[in-house]
Amino acid sequence: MGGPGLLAYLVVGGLLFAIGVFAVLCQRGAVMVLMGIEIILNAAILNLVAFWRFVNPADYAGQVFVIIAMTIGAVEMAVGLGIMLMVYRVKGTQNIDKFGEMKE
Amino acid sequence: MNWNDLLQWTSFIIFSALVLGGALGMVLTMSMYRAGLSLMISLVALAGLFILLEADMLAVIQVMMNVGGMLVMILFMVMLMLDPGGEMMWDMKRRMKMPGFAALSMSMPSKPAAASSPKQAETNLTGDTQNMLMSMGEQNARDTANMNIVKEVELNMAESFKDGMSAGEISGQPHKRIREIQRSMAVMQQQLGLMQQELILLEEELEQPNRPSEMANPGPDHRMTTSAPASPANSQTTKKTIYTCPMHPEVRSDKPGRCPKCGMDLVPIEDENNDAGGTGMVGSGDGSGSSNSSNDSQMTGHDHMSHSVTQGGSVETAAQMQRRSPQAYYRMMADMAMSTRQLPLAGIGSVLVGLILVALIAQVAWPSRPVAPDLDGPARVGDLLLSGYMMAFEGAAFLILTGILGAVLLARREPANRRSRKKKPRAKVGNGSETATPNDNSRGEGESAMPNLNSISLRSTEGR
Repeated sequence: MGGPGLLAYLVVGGLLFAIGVFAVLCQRGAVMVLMGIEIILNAAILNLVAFWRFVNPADYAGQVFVIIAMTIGAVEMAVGLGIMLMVYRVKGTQNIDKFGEMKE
Repeated sequence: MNWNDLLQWTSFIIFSALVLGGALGMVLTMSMYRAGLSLMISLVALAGLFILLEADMLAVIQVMMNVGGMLVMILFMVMLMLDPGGEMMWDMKRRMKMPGFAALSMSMPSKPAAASSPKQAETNLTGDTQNMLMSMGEQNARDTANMNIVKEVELNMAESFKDGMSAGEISGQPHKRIREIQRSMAVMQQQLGLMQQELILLEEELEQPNRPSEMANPGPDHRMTTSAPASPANSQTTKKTIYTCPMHPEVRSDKPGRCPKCGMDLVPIEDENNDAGGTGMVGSGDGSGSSNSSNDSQMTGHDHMSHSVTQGGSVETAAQMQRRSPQAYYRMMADMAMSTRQLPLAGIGSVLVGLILVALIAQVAWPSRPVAPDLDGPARVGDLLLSGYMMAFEGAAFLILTGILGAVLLARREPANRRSRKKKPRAKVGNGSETATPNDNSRGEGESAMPNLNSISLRSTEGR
Protein backbone atom coordinates (compact mmCIF):
# COMPACT_ATOMS: atom_id res chain seq x y z
CA MET A 1 0.00 0.00 0.00
CA GLY A 2 2.67 2.49 0.95
CA GLY A 3 2.91 5.63 2.94
CA PRO A 4 0.63 8.65 2.79
CA GLY A 5 -0.41 9.40 -0.73
CA LEU A 6 -1.14 12.57 -2.61
CA LEU A 7 -4.68 12.74 -1.27
CA ALA A 8 -3.51 13.02 2.35
CA TYR A 9 -1.12 15.88 1.59
CA LEU A 10 -3.73 17.67 -0.46
CA VAL A 11 -6.25 17.41 2.35
CA VAL A 12 -3.73 18.87 4.78
CA GLY A 13 -3.02 21.65 2.31
CA GLY A 14 -6.71 22.40 1.89
CA LEU A 15 -7.30 22.55 5.62
CA LEU A 16 -4.30 24.81 6.04
CA PHE A 17 -5.67 27.06 3.33
CA ALA A 18 -9.00 27.26 5.12
CA ILE A 19 -7.30 28.20 8.37
CA GLY A 20 -5.36 30.90 6.57
CA VAL A 21 -8.55 32.26 5.05
CA PHE A 22 -10.06 32.35 8.51
CA ALA A 23 -7.07 34.25 9.86
CA VAL A 24 -7.21 36.80 7.07
CA LEU A 25 -10.95 37.26 7.47
CA CYS A 26 -11.25 37.48 11.20
CA GLN A 27 -8.10 39.16 12.40
CA ARG A 28 -7.96 42.88 12.77
CA GLY A 29 -4.29 43.49 13.43
CA ALA A 30 -2.25 44.09 10.32
CA VAL A 31 0.51 41.74 11.44
CA MET A 32 -1.98 38.97 12.06
CA VAL A 33 -3.43 39.39 8.58
CA LEU A 34 0.07 39.14 7.16
CA MET A 35 0.55 35.94 9.10
CA GLY A 36 -2.70 34.57 7.67
CA ILE A 37 -1.46 35.35 4.18
CA GLU A 38 1.71 33.50 5.05
CA ILE A 39 -0.33 30.45 6.04
CA ILE A 40 -2.23 30.55 2.75
CA LEU A 41 1.04 30.76 0.86
CA ASN A 42 2.40 27.79 2.77
CA ALA A 43 -0.67 25.74 1.96
CA ALA A 44 -0.08 26.46 -1.71
CA ILE A 45 3.59 25.53 -1.35
CA LEU A 46 2.69 22.26 0.34
CA ASN A 47 0.39 21.46 -2.57
CA LEU A 48 3.17 22.27 -5.02
CA VAL A 49 5.63 20.00 -3.28
CA ALA A 50 3.08 17.19 -3.05
CA PHE A 51 2.26 17.47 -6.73
CA TRP A 52 5.93 17.47 -7.61
CA ARG A 53 6.52 14.39 -5.52
CA PHE A 54 3.59 12.33 -6.73
CA VAL A 55 3.06 13.47 -10.28
CA ASN A 56 6.48 14.06 -11.77
CA PRO A 57 9.33 13.53 -9.33
CA ALA A 58 11.93 13.26 -12.04
CA ASP A 59 11.53 16.89 -13.03
CA TYR A 60 13.07 19.13 -10.43
CA ALA A 61 11.51 22.23 -11.89
CA GLY A 62 8.73 21.72 -9.37
CA GLN A 63 11.13 22.32 -6.51
CA VAL A 64 12.55 25.35 -8.24
CA PHE A 65 9.03 26.68 -8.58
CA VAL A 66 8.54 26.18 -4.86
CA ILE A 67 11.75 28.07 -4.11
CA ILE A 68 10.60 30.96 -6.26
CA ALA A 69 7.22 30.94 -4.53
CA MET A 70 9.02 31.12 -1.19
CA THR A 71 10.99 34.15 -2.33
CA ILE A 72 7.78 35.76 -3.47
CA GLY A 73 6.46 35.12 0.02
CA ALA A 74 9.51 36.81 1.48
CA VAL A 75 8.93 39.80 -0.83
CA GLU A 76 5.35 39.96 0.32
CA MET A 77 6.43 39.88 3.92
CA ALA A 78 9.02 42.63 3.48
CA VAL A 79 6.74 44.91 1.51
CA GLY A 80 3.78 44.20 3.79
CA LEU A 81 5.75 44.96 6.92
CA GLY A 82 7.18 48.11 5.35
CA ILE A 83 3.78 49.39 4.29
CA MET A 84 2.34 48.44 7.65
CA LEU A 85 5.07 50.28 9.51
CA MET A 86 4.53 53.36 7.40
CA VAL A 87 0.78 53.30 7.88
CA TYR A 88 1.37 52.80 11.56
CA ARG A 89 3.55 55.85 11.65
CA VAL A 90 0.94 57.89 9.83
CA LYS A 91 -2.17 56.63 11.55
CA GLY A 92 -0.81 55.66 14.91
CA THR A 93 -2.74 52.42 14.98
CA GLN A 94 -2.35 48.90 13.79
CA ASN A 95 -6.05 48.30 13.36
CA ILE A 96 -6.96 47.46 9.79
CA ASP A 97 -10.42 48.93 10.14
CA LYS A 98 -8.78 52.30 10.56
CA PHE A 99 -6.79 51.90 7.36
CA GLY A 100 -9.96 52.32 5.32
CA GLU A 101 -9.17 55.63 3.76
CA MET A 102 -5.77 55.64 2.14
CA LYS A 103 -5.86 59.32 1.36
CA GLU A 104 -4.19 61.58 3.80
CA MET B 1 1.93 -2.61 5.56
CA ASN B 2 5.55 -2.79 6.58
CA TRP B 3 7.45 -0.79 9.14
CA ASN B 4 8.58 1.85 6.72
CA ASP B 5 5.05 2.73 5.75
CA LEU B 6 3.94 2.73 9.36
CA LEU B 7 6.75 5.10 10.23
CA GLN B 8 5.83 7.34 7.33
CA TRP B 9 2.19 7.44 8.32
CA THR B 10 3.04 8.16 11.95
CA SER B 11 5.34 11.01 11.10
CA PHE B 12 2.88 12.32 8.55
CA ILE B 13 0.12 12.40 11.15
CA ILE B 14 2.35 14.03 13.72
CA PHE B 15 3.64 16.66 11.34
CA SER B 16 0.29 17.47 9.82
CA ALA B 17 -1.25 17.72 13.29
CA LEU B 18 1.52 20.16 14.19
CA VAL B 19 1.00 22.13 10.99
CA LEU B 20 -2.75 22.42 11.41
CA GLY B 21 -2.61 22.84 15.17
CA GLY B 22 0.00 25.55 14.91
CA ALA B 23 -2.06 27.41 12.35
CA LEU B 24 -5.21 27.04 14.43
CA GLY B 25 -3.36 28.17 17.51
CA MET B 26 -2.13 31.19 15.62
CA VAL B 27 -5.67 32.14 14.71
CA LEU B 28 -7.35 31.37 17.99
CA THR B 29 -4.95 32.79 20.51
CA MET B 30 -5.36 36.31 21.75
CA SER B 31 -1.72 36.97 22.32
CA MET B 32 0.14 38.10 19.26
CA TYR B 33 3.39 36.81 20.62
CA ARG B 34 1.92 33.34 20.99
CA ALA B 35 0.44 33.67 17.53
CA GLY B 36 3.90 34.23 16.12
CA LEU B 37 5.32 31.28 17.99
CA SER B 38 2.47 29.03 16.85
CA LEU B 39 3.01 30.10 13.28
CA MET B 40 6.67 29.22 13.66
CA ILE B 41 5.74 25.76 14.94
CA SER B 42 3.43 25.33 11.97
CA LEU B 43 6.09 26.33 9.48
CA VAL B 44 8.77 24.12 10.97
CA ALA B 45 6.36 21.17 10.94
CA LEU B 46 5.68 21.99 7.32
CA ALA B 47 9.40 21.57 6.73
CA GLY B 48 8.97 18.11 8.28
CA LEU B 49 6.29 17.37 5.71
CA PHE B 50 8.69 18.49 3.00
CA ILE B 51 11.24 15.99 4.28
CA LEU B 52 8.56 13.32 4.16
CA LEU B 53 7.97 14.30 0.57
CA GLU B 54 11.72 13.85 -0.03
CA ALA B 55 12.32 17.50 -0.78
CA ASP B 56 15.13 18.03 1.71
CA MET B 57 16.49 21.21 0.29
CA LEU B 58 13.08 22.82 0.36
CA ALA B 59 12.80 21.85 4.02
CA VAL B 60 16.11 23.53 4.81
CA ILE B 61 15.12 26.65 2.90
CA GLN B 62 11.75 26.67 4.61
CA VAL B 63 13.27 26.54 8.07
CA MET B 64 15.86 29.18 7.30
CA MET B 65 13.57 31.67 5.62
CA ASN B 66 10.57 31.25 7.79
CA VAL B 67 12.30 31.18 11.11
CA GLY B 68 14.07 34.37 10.16
CA GLY B 69 10.87 35.91 8.90
CA MET B 70 8.95 34.89 11.97
CA LEU B 71 11.55 36.36 14.27
CA VAL B 72 11.26 39.65 12.42
CA MET B 73 7.49 39.46 12.66
CA ILE B 74 7.50 38.81 16.37
CA LEU B 75 9.83 41.73 16.84
CA PHE B 76 7.45 43.88 14.87
CA MET B 77 4.52 42.73 16.91
CA VAL B 78 6.22 43.47 20.17
CA MET B 79 7.30 46.82 18.84
CA LEU B 80 3.89 47.88 17.61
CA MET B 81 1.42 46.20 19.84
CA LEU B 82 3.04 45.38 23.17
CA ASP B 83 0.68 42.40 23.19
CA PRO B 84 -2.32 43.46 25.30
CA GLY B 85 -4.20 40.28 24.49
CA GLY B 86 -1.31 38.23 25.78
CA GLU B 87 -1.31 39.99 29.09
CA MET B 88 -5.01 39.44 29.40
CA MET B 89 -4.64 35.77 28.54
CA TRP B 90 -1.90 35.39 31.08
CA ASP B 91 -4.06 37.09 33.64
CA MET B 92 -7.08 34.91 32.96
CA LYS B 93 -5.04 31.73 32.99
CA ARG B 94 -3.39 32.64 36.23
CA ARG B 95 -6.76 33.31 37.78
CA MET B 96 -8.25 30.06 36.59
CA LYS B 97 -5.35 27.83 37.43
CA MET B 98 -4.36 29.07 40.87
CA PRO B 99 -6.89 31.38 42.43
CA GLY B 100 -5.01 31.73 45.68
CA PHE B 101 -1.77 32.55 44.03
CA ALA B 102 -3.39 34.98 41.67
CA ALA B 103 -2.97 38.12 43.68
CA LEU B 104 0.00 36.84 45.64
CA SER B 105 2.21 36.51 42.65
CA MET B 106 1.57 40.11 41.75
CA SER B 107 2.26 41.66 45.11
CA MET B 108 3.85 39.50 47.69
CA PRO B 109 2.54 39.97 51.18
CA SER B 110 3.41 37.01 53.36
CA LYS B 111 0.05 35.37 53.52
CA PRO B 112 -1.15 31.82 52.98
CA ALA B 113 -1.91 31.13 49.38
CA ALA B 114 -5.17 29.30 49.78
CA ALA B 115 -6.88 30.82 52.74
CA SER B 116 -9.14 28.41 54.56
CA SER B 117 -11.69 30.81 55.95
CA PRO B 118 -13.44 33.19 53.62
CA LYS B 119 -12.82 36.14 55.88
CA GLN B 120 -9.12 35.64 55.70
CA ALA B 121 -9.37 35.32 51.99
CA GLU B 122 -11.16 38.58 51.75
CA THR B 123 -8.68 40.46 53.86
CA ASN B 124 -5.95 39.00 51.75
CA LEU B 125 -7.66 40.25 48.67
CA THR B 126 -8.22 43.75 49.94
CA GLY B 127 -4.64 44.01 51.11
CA ASP B 128 -3.52 42.82 47.75
CA THR B 129 -5.69 45.37 46.09
CA GLN B 130 -4.10 48.15 48.05
CA ASN B 131 -0.66 46.83 47.35
CA MET B 132 -1.49 46.65 43.71
CA LEU B 133 -2.73 50.19 43.83
CA MET B 134 0.50 51.38 45.34
CA SER B 135 2.53 49.56 42.77
CA MET B 136 0.26 50.93 40.12
CA GLY B 137 0.90 54.46 41.26
CA GLU B 138 4.55 53.86 40.72
CA GLN B 139 4.24 52.61 37.18
CA ASN B 140 1.08 54.18 35.96
CA ALA B 141 2.56 54.95 32.61
CA ARG B 142 1.80 51.48 31.47
CA ASP B 143 -1.86 51.40 30.73
CA THR B 144 -1.98 47.71 29.99
CA ALA B 145 -0.80 46.92 33.44
CA ASN B 146 -3.43 49.27 34.75
CA MET B 147 -6.06 47.51 32.73
CA ASN B 148 -5.03 44.22 34.17
CA ILE B 149 -5.11 45.64 37.64
CA VAL B 150 -8.58 46.96 37.10
CA LYS B 151 -9.75 43.58 35.95
CA GLU B 152 -7.99 41.95 38.84
CA VAL B 153 -9.71 44.19 41.33
CA GLU B 154 -12.99 43.61 39.62
CA LEU B 155 -12.63 39.88 39.98
CA ASN B 156 -11.38 40.17 43.52
CA MET B 157 -14.48 42.12 44.35
CA ALA B 158 -16.66 39.39 42.96
CA GLU B 159 -14.74 36.75 44.84
CA SER B 160 -14.92 38.59 48.10
CA PHE B 161 -18.59 39.18 47.54
CA LYS B 162 -19.17 35.50 46.95
CA ASP B 163 -17.05 34.57 49.93
CA GLY B 164 -18.99 37.03 52.00
CA MET B 165 -22.29 35.48 51.01
CA SER B 166 -21.19 32.00 51.90
CA ALA B 167 -19.65 33.16 55.16
CA GLY B 168 -22.83 34.93 56.14
CA GLU B 169 -24.81 31.79 55.64
CA ILE B 170 -22.35 29.64 57.49
CA SER B 171 -21.32 31.68 60.47
CA GLY B 172 -24.79 32.99 61.25
CA GLN B 173 -23.64 36.59 61.63
CA PRO B 174 -24.93 38.07 58.45
CA HIS B 175 -25.16 41.69 59.58
CA LYS B 176 -21.58 42.01 60.65
CA ARG B 177 -20.45 40.19 57.59
CA ILE B 178 -22.50 42.39 55.30
CA ARG B 179 -21.10 45.50 56.92
CA GLU B 180 -17.58 44.27 56.38
CA ILE B 181 -18.30 43.48 52.80
CA GLN B 182 -19.89 46.86 52.26
CA ARG B 183 -16.90 48.61 53.73
CA SER B 184 -14.43 46.75 51.59
CA MET B 185 -16.61 47.25 48.58
CA ALA B 186 -16.69 50.97 49.20
CA VAL B 187 -12.92 51.05 49.40
CA MET B 188 -12.60 49.03 46.26
CA GLN B 189 -15.08 51.12 44.38
CA GLN B 190 -13.31 54.32 45.27
CA GLN B 191 -10.07 52.84 44.10
CA LEU B 192 -11.77 51.59 40.99
CA GLY B 193 -13.11 55.04 40.24
CA LEU B 194 -9.66 56.55 40.49
CA MET B 195 -8.18 53.83 38.37
CA GLN B 196 -10.91 54.15 35.78
CA GLN B 197 -10.30 57.82 35.47
CA GLU B 198 -6.61 57.28 35.05
CA LEU B 199 -7.19 54.47 32.63
CA ILE B 200 -9.49 56.51 30.48
CA LEU B 201 -7.07 59.41 30.43
CA LEU B 202 -4.27 57.11 29.38
CA GLU B 203 -6.41 55.53 26.73
CA GLU B 204 -7.31 58.88 25.32
CA GLU B 205 -3.66 59.73 25.20
CA LEU B 206 -3.06 56.53 23.34
CA GLU B 207 -5.97 56.81 20.99
CA GLN B 208 -5.70 60.46 20.10
CA PRO B 209 -2.06 61.48 20.30
CA ASN B 210 -2.72 64.28 17.82
CA ARG B 211 -5.61 65.83 19.65
CA PRO B 212 -4.47 67.23 22.95
CA SER B 213 -7.60 69.32 23.18
CA GLU B 214 -9.53 66.19 24.02
CA MET B 215 -7.68 66.00 27.26
CA ALA B 216 -9.47 69.11 28.42
CA ASN B 217 -12.79 67.41 27.83
CA PRO B 218 -14.86 67.59 30.96
CA GLY B 219 -15.89 63.99 30.49
CA PRO B 220 -13.24 62.17 32.55
CA ASP B 221 -13.18 64.68 35.40
CA HIS B 222 -16.89 64.57 35.55
CA ARG B 223 -16.82 60.81 35.60
CA MET B 224 -14.40 60.88 38.45
CA THR B 225 -16.73 62.97 40.49
CA THR B 226 -19.61 60.65 39.85
CA SER B 227 -17.97 57.29 40.19
CA ALA B 228 -15.36 57.96 42.85
CA PRO B 229 -17.74 58.42 45.81
CA ALA B 230 -19.57 55.28 44.80
CA SER B 231 -20.50 53.38 47.89
CA PRO B 232 -22.92 50.62 48.66
CA ALA B 233 -24.89 53.06 50.76
CA ASN B 234 -26.80 54.13 47.68
CA SER B 235 -27.51 50.63 46.66
CA GLN B 236 -31.21 51.26 46.79
CA THR B 237 -33.13 52.52 43.84
CA THR B 238 -31.99 55.97 42.74
CA LYS B 239 -33.57 58.25 40.20
CA LYS B 240 -31.50 60.53 38.06
CA THR B 241 -32.36 62.89 35.29
CA ILE B 242 -30.32 62.01 32.27
CA TYR B 243 -30.21 63.96 29.06
CA THR B 244 -30.07 62.05 25.86
CA CYS B 245 -30.24 62.78 22.19
CA PRO B 246 -33.54 61.94 20.51
CA MET B 247 -31.70 60.60 17.49
CA HIS B 248 -28.79 58.90 19.24
CA PRO B 249 -29.96 57.15 22.38
CA GLU B 250 -26.42 56.04 23.22
CA VAL B 251 -25.40 59.63 23.84
CA ARG B 252 -25.99 60.37 27.49
CA SER B 253 -25.13 63.22 29.72
CA ASP B 254 -26.41 64.41 33.03
CA LYS B 255 -26.50 68.05 32.08
CA PRO B 256 -28.30 69.63 29.14
CA GLY B 257 -26.34 70.39 26.03
CA ARG B 258 -25.97 69.40 22.45
CA CYS B 259 -25.47 66.00 20.94
CA PRO B 260 -21.86 65.52 19.85
CA LYS B 261 -23.01 63.56 16.83
CA CYS B 262 -25.76 65.61 15.30
CA GLY B 263 -25.84 68.82 17.32
CA MET B 264 -29.45 68.43 18.44
CA ASP B 265 -30.52 69.57 21.87
CA LEU B 266 -30.48 66.84 24.45
CA VAL B 267 -33.81 65.98 26.01
CA PRO B 268 -34.21 64.87 29.62
CA ILE B 269 -35.31 61.37 30.45
CA GLU B 270 -35.95 59.69 33.75
CA ASP B 271 -33.55 56.85 34.25
CA GLU B 272 -34.07 54.29 36.94
CA ASN B 273 -31.04 52.43 38.12
CA ASN B 274 -31.40 49.93 40.84
CA ASP B 275 -29.21 47.57 42.82
CA ALA B 276 -25.99 49.41 43.23
CA GLY B 277 -25.77 50.33 39.59
CA GLY B 278 -26.73 53.96 40.13
CA THR B 279 -23.48 55.76 39.81
CA GLY B 280 -21.87 53.05 37.85
CA MET B 281 -24.43 53.21 35.13
CA VAL B 282 -24.17 56.96 34.93
CA GLY B 283 -20.45 56.63 34.66
CA SER B 284 -20.77 54.13 31.87
CA GLY B 285 -23.19 56.35 30.05
CA ASP B 286 -20.73 59.16 30.26
CA GLY B 287 -18.03 56.89 29.02
CA SER B 288 -19.92 56.05 25.88
CA GLY B 289 -20.89 59.66 25.41
CA SER B 290 -17.37 60.96 25.61
CA SER B 291 -16.06 58.23 23.39
CA ASN B 292 -18.73 59.02 20.88
CA SER B 293 -17.83 62.65 20.91
CA SER B 294 -14.16 61.98 20.47
CA ASN B 295 -14.50 59.22 17.96
CA ASP B 296 -17.72 59.43 16.10
CA SER B 297 -17.25 56.89 13.36
CA GLN B 298 -16.84 53.76 15.36
CA MET B 299 -15.95 52.77 18.86
CA THR B 300 -12.56 51.21 19.16
CA GLY B 301 -11.46 48.33 21.26
CA HIS B 302 -10.12 50.52 24.00
CA ASP B 303 -13.37 52.32 24.19
CA HIS B 304 -15.14 49.07 24.65
CA MET B 305 -12.73 48.10 27.31
CA SER B 306 -13.30 51.30 29.20
CA HIS B 307 -17.01 50.84 28.74
CA SER B 308 -17.05 47.41 30.25
CA VAL B 309 -14.61 48.32 32.96
CA THR B 310 -16.70 51.28 33.86
CA GLN B 311 -19.66 49.03 34.12
CA GLY B 312 -17.49 46.93 36.35
CA GLY B 313 -17.41 49.97 38.59
CA SER B 314 -20.65 48.68 39.95
CA VAL B 315 -20.51 45.17 41.26
CA GLU B 316 -20.67 43.70 37.78
CA THR B 317 -17.90 41.33 36.87
CA ALA B 318 -17.02 39.73 33.59
CA ALA B 319 -19.14 36.67 34.27
CA GLN B 320 -22.11 38.77 35.25
CA MET B 321 -21.64 40.90 32.22
CA GLN B 322 -21.64 37.77 30.13
CA ARG B 323 -24.91 36.74 31.67
CA ARG B 324 -26.56 40.12 31.47
CA SER B 325 -25.58 41.18 27.97
CA PRO B 326 -23.79 38.47 26.05
CA GLN B 327 -23.49 40.78 23.08
CA ALA B 328 -21.44 43.37 24.92
CA TYR B 329 -19.33 40.64 26.43
CA TYR B 330 -18.74 39.15 23.02
CA ARG B 331 -17.79 42.54 21.64
CA MET B 332 -15.31 43.03 24.45
CA MET B 333 -13.75 39.65 23.98
CA ALA B 334 -13.54 40.10 20.22
CA ASP B 335 -11.89 43.45 20.74
CA MET B 336 -9.38 42.02 23.12
CA ALA B 337 -8.63 39.20 20.72
CA MET B 338 -7.98 41.77 17.98
CA SER B 339 -10.56 40.12 15.79
CA THR B 340 -13.38 41.72 13.90
CA ARG B 341 -16.99 41.56 14.97
CA GLN B 342 -17.73 39.35 12.00
CA LEU B 343 -15.91 36.50 13.65
CA PRO B 344 -18.74 33.94 13.26
CA LEU B 345 -19.20 34.88 9.62
CA ALA B 346 -15.51 34.43 9.00
CA GLY B 347 -15.59 31.09 10.78
CA ILE B 348 -18.52 29.86 8.71
CA GLY B 349 -16.93 31.07 5.52
CA SER B 350 -13.61 29.43 6.17
CA VAL B 351 -15.19 26.17 7.28
CA LEU B 352 -17.14 26.22 4.03
CA VAL B 353 -13.95 26.86 2.09
CA GLY B 354 -12.24 23.96 3.82
CA LEU B 355 -15.14 21.59 3.26
CA ILE B 356 -15.45 22.50 -0.40
CA LEU B 357 -11.71 22.09 -0.93
CA VAL B 358 -11.58 18.72 0.79
CA ALA B 359 -14.65 17.50 -1.07
CA LEU B 360 -13.19 18.58 -4.39
CA ILE B 361 -9.86 16.97 -3.56
CA ALA B 362 -11.50 13.73 -2.54
CA GLN B 363 -13.46 13.53 -5.77
CA VAL B 364 -10.46 13.43 -8.05
CA ALA B 365 -8.72 10.12 -8.69
CA TRP B 366 -5.15 11.15 -8.02
CA PRO B 367 -2.25 9.22 -9.51
CA SER B 368 -0.79 6.58 -7.26
CA ARG B 369 2.68 6.68 -5.80
CA PRO B 370 5.31 6.69 -8.54
CA VAL B 371 8.98 5.83 -8.27
CA ALA B 372 10.96 7.63 -5.62
CA PRO B 373 13.16 10.51 -6.71
CA ASP B 374 16.89 9.91 -6.60
CA LEU B 375 18.88 10.86 -3.58
CA ASP B 376 20.91 13.74 -4.99
CA GLY B 377 17.84 15.86 -5.42
CA PRO B 378 19.34 18.98 -3.88
CA ALA B 379 22.22 18.90 -6.36
CA ARG B 380 19.74 18.59 -9.19
CA VAL B 381 17.75 21.48 -7.85
CA GLY B 382 20.87 23.56 -7.52
CA ASP B 383 21.88 22.73 -11.09
CA LEU B 384 18.47 23.65 -12.39
CA LEU B 385 18.44 26.81 -10.35
CA LEU B 386 21.81 27.91 -11.64
CA SER B 387 21.32 26.92 -15.25
CA GLY B 388 17.78 26.95 -16.50
CA TYR B 389 16.00 29.01 -13.90
CA MET B 390 18.65 31.57 -13.18
CA MET B 391 16.60 34.34 -14.72
CA ALA B 392 13.56 33.55 -12.63
CA PHE B 393 15.60 33.40 -9.47
CA GLU B 394 17.35 36.63 -10.29
CA GLY B 395 13.99 38.17 -10.97
CA ALA B 396 12.74 37.06 -7.58
CA ALA B 397 15.85 38.45 -5.91
CA PHE B 398 15.35 41.71 -7.79
CA LEU B 399 11.77 41.79 -6.56
CA ILE B 400 12.95 41.28 -2.99
CA LEU B 401 15.47 44.08 -3.29
CA THR B 402 12.93 46.39 -4.90
CA GLY B 403 10.42 45.62 -2.22
CA ILE B 404 12.86 46.24 0.60
CA LEU B 405 14.10 49.41 -1.06
CA GLY B 406 10.57 50.65 -1.52
CA ALA B 407 9.73 49.85 2.07
CA VAL B 408 12.79 51.70 3.30
CA LEU B 409 12.03 54.68 1.10
CA LEU B 410 8.44 54.74 2.28
CA ALA B 411 9.55 54.49 5.88
CA ARG B 412 12.02 57.32 5.44
CA ARG B 413 9.30 59.67 4.27
CA GLU B 414 7.92 61.76 7.03
CA PRO B 415 4.22 61.38 7.62
CA ALA B 416 2.18 64.32 6.40
CA ASN B 417 0.52 65.10 9.67
CA ARG B 418 3.83 65.27 11.47
CA ARG B 419 5.49 67.31 8.79
CA SER B 420 3.14 70.21 9.37
CA ARG B 421 3.72 70.18 13.10
CA LYS B 422 7.46 70.06 12.83
CA LYS B 423 9.18 72.89 14.65
CA LYS B 424 12.52 73.04 12.90
CA PRO B 425 12.18 74.61 9.45
CA ARG B 426 14.70 72.23 7.97
CA ALA B 427 12.57 71.41 4.94
CA LYS B 428 13.75 72.37 1.51
CA VAL B 429 10.65 74.44 0.90
CA GLY B 430 11.73 76.88 3.56
CA ASN B 431 15.12 77.32 1.98
CA GLY B 432 13.58 77.85 -1.42
CA SER B 433 11.39 80.66 -0.17
CA GLU B 434 14.33 82.22 1.59
CA THR B 435 16.30 82.27 -1.61
CA ALA B 436 13.32 83.55 -3.54
CA THR B 437 12.72 86.67 -1.50
CA PRO B 438 16.27 88.05 -1.55
CA ASN B 439 16.40 87.30 -5.23
CA ASP B 440 13.49 89.62 -5.85
CA ASN B 441 14.96 92.27 -3.60
CA SER B 442 18.41 92.05 -5.09
CA ARG B 443 17.22 93.23 -8.49
CA GLY B 444 16.30 96.54 -7.04
CA GLU B 445 19.06 96.99 -4.52
CA GLY B 446 22.01 95.99 -6.64
CA GLU B 447 25.07 94.13 -5.50
CA SER B 448 24.73 94.65 -1.79
CA ALA B 449 22.31 91.78 -1.51
CA MET B 450 24.31 89.38 -3.63
CA PRO B 451 26.65 87.91 -0.95
CA ASN B 452 23.65 87.25 1.19
CA LEU B 453 22.02 85.35 -1.63
CA ASN B 454 25.16 83.34 -2.28
CA SER B 455 25.55 82.36 1.32
CA ILE B 456 21.93 81.28 1.49
CA SER B 457 22.13 79.16 -1.62
CA LEU B 458 25.34 77.59 -0.34
CA ARG B 459 23.63 76.75 2.89
CA SER B 460 20.73 75.23 1.06
CA THR B 461 23.03 72.99 -0.96
CA GLU B 462 24.81 71.99 2.23
CA GLY B 463 21.48 71.15 3.72
CA ARG B 464 20.98 68.68 0.97
